[in-house]
Amino acid sequence: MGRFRRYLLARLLFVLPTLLGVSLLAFGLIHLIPGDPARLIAGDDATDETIRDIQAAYGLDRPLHIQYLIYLGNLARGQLGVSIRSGRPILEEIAPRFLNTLQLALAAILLTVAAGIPLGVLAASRRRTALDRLSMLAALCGIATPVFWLGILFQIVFAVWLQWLPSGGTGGLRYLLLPAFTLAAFSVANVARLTRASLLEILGQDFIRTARAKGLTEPAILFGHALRNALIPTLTFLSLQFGFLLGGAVLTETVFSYSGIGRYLVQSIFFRDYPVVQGVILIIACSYILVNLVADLLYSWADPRISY
Amino acid sequence: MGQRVGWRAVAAALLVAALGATSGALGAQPRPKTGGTLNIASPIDVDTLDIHKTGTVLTGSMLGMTVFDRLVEWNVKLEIVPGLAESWQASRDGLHWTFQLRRGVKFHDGTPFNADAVKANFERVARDRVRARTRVFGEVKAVEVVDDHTVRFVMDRPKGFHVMLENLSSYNGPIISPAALKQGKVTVGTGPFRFVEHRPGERLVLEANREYWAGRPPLDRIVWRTIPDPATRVRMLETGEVDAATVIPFQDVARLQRRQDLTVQAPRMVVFYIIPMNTQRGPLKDVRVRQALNYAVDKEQINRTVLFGLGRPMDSAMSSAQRPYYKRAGGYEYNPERAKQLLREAGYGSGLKLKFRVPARRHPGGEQISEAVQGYLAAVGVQAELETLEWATFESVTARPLDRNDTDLYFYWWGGADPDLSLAFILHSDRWPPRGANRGFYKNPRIDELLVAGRMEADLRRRVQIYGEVQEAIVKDAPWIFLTEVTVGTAWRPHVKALSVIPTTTLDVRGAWLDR
Repeated sequence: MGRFRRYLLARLLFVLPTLLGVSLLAFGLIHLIPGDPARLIAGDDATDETIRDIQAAYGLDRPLHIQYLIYLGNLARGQLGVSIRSGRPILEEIAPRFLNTLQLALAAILLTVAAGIPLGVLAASRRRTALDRLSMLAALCGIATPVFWLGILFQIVFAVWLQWLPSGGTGGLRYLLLPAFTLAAFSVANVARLTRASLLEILGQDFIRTARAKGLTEPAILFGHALRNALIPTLTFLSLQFGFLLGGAVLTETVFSYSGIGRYLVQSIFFRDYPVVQGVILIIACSYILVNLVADLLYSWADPRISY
Repeated sequence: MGQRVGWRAVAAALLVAALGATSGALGAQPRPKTGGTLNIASPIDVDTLDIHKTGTVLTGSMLGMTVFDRLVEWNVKLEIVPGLAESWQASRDGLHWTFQLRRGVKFHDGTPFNADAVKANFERVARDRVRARTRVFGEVKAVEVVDDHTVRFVMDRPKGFHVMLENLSSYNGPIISPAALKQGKVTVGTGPFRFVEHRPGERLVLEANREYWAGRPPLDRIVWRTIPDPATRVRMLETGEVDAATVIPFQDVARLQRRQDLTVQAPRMVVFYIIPMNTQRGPLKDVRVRQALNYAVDKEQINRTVLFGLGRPMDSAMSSAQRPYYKRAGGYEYNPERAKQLLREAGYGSGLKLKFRVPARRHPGGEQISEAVQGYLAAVGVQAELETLEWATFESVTARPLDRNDTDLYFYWWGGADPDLSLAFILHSDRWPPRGANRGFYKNPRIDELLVAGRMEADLRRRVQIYGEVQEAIVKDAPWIFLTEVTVGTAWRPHVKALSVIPTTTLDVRGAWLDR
C-alpha cells in the first residue's frame, strides 16, 4: 500500500469518531435549550394530556440517553428519521435545500476564483501603482461590507431599478446570481488580498531571482513559477470558505429568501425539530470533512514538496 | 339550512366585498376571467402537507382552503355556510351531530366523497395523535355512517353548537381522500385546486380542478412563493415578480396604500394584543393594581407609533371584528395620575417589581410594544423586568403550573371568530396550565359559569347577551392589560381581482381571477 493510500485510509478512519462526536454534540445542545416540540405542535390551547400523547408519539418521553441511542441505531441503518414538524423523512426535506446551498456555494466559489485570484495577481504584478492601490481599496471595502447590507443594495439596484434579476426566491440560475455575487464579495476581496500578499513574498525569493537571471519573461515567471507556489494560503482560505458556505449562509439566504440549508437549520432550531437539527448538522459536518480532505489533497498538487 | 351555495355565488360575494373595500365602485360587476397564474408571496412555507397536522393559519390559506373542502365553511361576514355538508342538526343534549353530505362530489383521484370518507378522516385524526385532535375532534367518541350521504358524530360530552361548527371549519378540518391516504398521499382533496408540486422552502404549486363540484375556479394555477424576508416580499410585489403578497409589514402598509398601482387591505382581525397578568401572584392579585397598569399605558400612542395606526385600541375584552358578539364594554383611557392613585390605594405607592416576558420575532411589533409598555409602567413606579425569549422557550416558560410560574406579565396575541375560543381558552379556570392556555391563572366563578353557558347555548341572541356580560365583567376585573386589535396587511397588483381577506386572518384565494 502506497503512503498516499495509507494516509487517505487514516483520514477516513477519523471520520467516524468525528461524526459520532458531532452527533453527540448536536443532540446534547439542542436538548439543552428549553422548549418542547410537542407543545409547539399541540398549540397554546392544548392540555398536558395531549402534549404527553404527542411526546409519546415521537418518542420524546423517553430518557435522553435512550433517545440518543435510538437515534444512533437509526443512523447506523442509514435513517435520519422523520421531521417532527412536517412529518416527512428528513432526507427528503434536506436534499433539495442542500442542493440549493451547494449550487450557491459553488457559484460563489467559482466567482471567487475567477475574480479574486486574477485581481490579486494583477495587484501584485503592478505593485505600488494606482491599480494596485485601487484594487486593494476595493478589496478592503469587500471585506468590510456586511453581506445583508450588500444584498439589499444589490436587490435595489438590480431588481428594483434595473429589473434585470429577481429580488428573491429560489429557482434557476436567475435566482442564484444576486445571492452568489453577494456571498462572493467577501471572499473575492479576501482571496485577492491573500494572493497578492503571498505572491509578493514568493516574488522576493531566490528561485525567482534565478528565473529572472535565466532571462525568463515576467509572465512566464509569474504564472510558471510564482503563482502555483503562492496559492497555498489561498487554497486554505477557499476550502474553509467553501465548507463554511456549505453550512449555509444564513444571512444571505434570509435576505434573498433563498431556500437553503442554513435557513432551514435556523427554522428547525426555533421549532425544536430535534431530528432535523441533528440531521442537518451531521450533513454539514460530513461536507466540511469532505471539503477539508479535498483541500489537503490539492495542497500536494499546488506544492509537490507537500506529500503524505 | 339546505340551500346550495354555488361557487359563483361565493365568488360574487367576495368580489363585492373586495370592490367595496378598495375602490368603492359598486356598479356593474365584471365577470371573472378564466385563466392565468397567480403568483403570491407568503412569509412561510406550508409547515406540513398533511393538513390535519398543520399548526399555522397560513398553511390553511395556502393548502387547506384550496386543495380541500371542509364540512362547513366561514364566509367573509364570519358566518358558517355549507361546505361538503349541505345541512346539519344537533340533538338537544349536544351529544349527537348529524350531517347531510353533498352528493356527486369526487376527490381529485376520482374516488367518491361520502359518509365513509368522513368517518375515515375523523378516525385517522383520532388515531394519529396529532394536533388536529385537540382542536377539532377532542370530544368525538365515534363517527357513524347512517347512510352513504349522512354521517353522525357521537360526542363523549355535550358540544356547543358554534364550537362544533367552528372546529369543523378550522384549518385542521379538511377532508382528505381515504384512498389516497392508504397509498400514503396526503394532498388529495375535493377542493377547487389540485396539488401539483411542493418544493420545500421554495414554492407550492396548485392547478385548477376543472371538475370542481361548484364549477371550476377562475385561475388556472396558483404559485405560493416562500419569501420569509418582509422587505423582499414587498420589493417583489413592487417589481411585479409576484402578483400579491401577504403579511406586509405595518410601515409598508401605510406607504403602499398611497400608491395608485397597488391595492392594500388591512382589515381589522378577530385577534388582539393583550398582556395577561398572573392574577394569583403577589400584587397582581389586587384588582386595583391590575386596573392601575391599564391606566398607565397609552394604547393610542402605541397604536400610532408601533402599529402605524393600523390597529385599534381595545375597548372591550374582544376585537370589534368579532361580530356579532363584540360589545363596547369600555376600556381604560391613558391616565397615569389615576394609575398612581390606584397603586397608592393598594399600598404600592412606593413602587413594585414585576417580571414581564415577550416572545422574540413572533408577533409583528410585539417587542416594541412591550418596550413601550415597560416605559409607561416605569413612569408610574412599576418596574417591569422585560425578558425577550425565543418562541419555543417562551411557550415552555409561561405555560408552567402556578407553583413554578414566575411570569407576572406576558405579551400575547389571541383571538378567534367565536367568543368561546377567544375567551374561554384563556379565562376559564379549567384552563389553568397544565390544562390549557389560561396562563394568567384567572379564576372567577361567575365568569366560569357564563363561559360554559355561552358554549352550550345554541340561540344566537342569548349567546350575544351572555358574552356581552362576560366582556363587561372582564374589562372591570382587568385580568389583562388591554392593548390593541390587530390587522394583517395583504397587498396585490391591480390586475388581481376578488382576493379576499377574512377577518380570521385567512386569505381566501379560491375565487381570485386576473384581469388582463
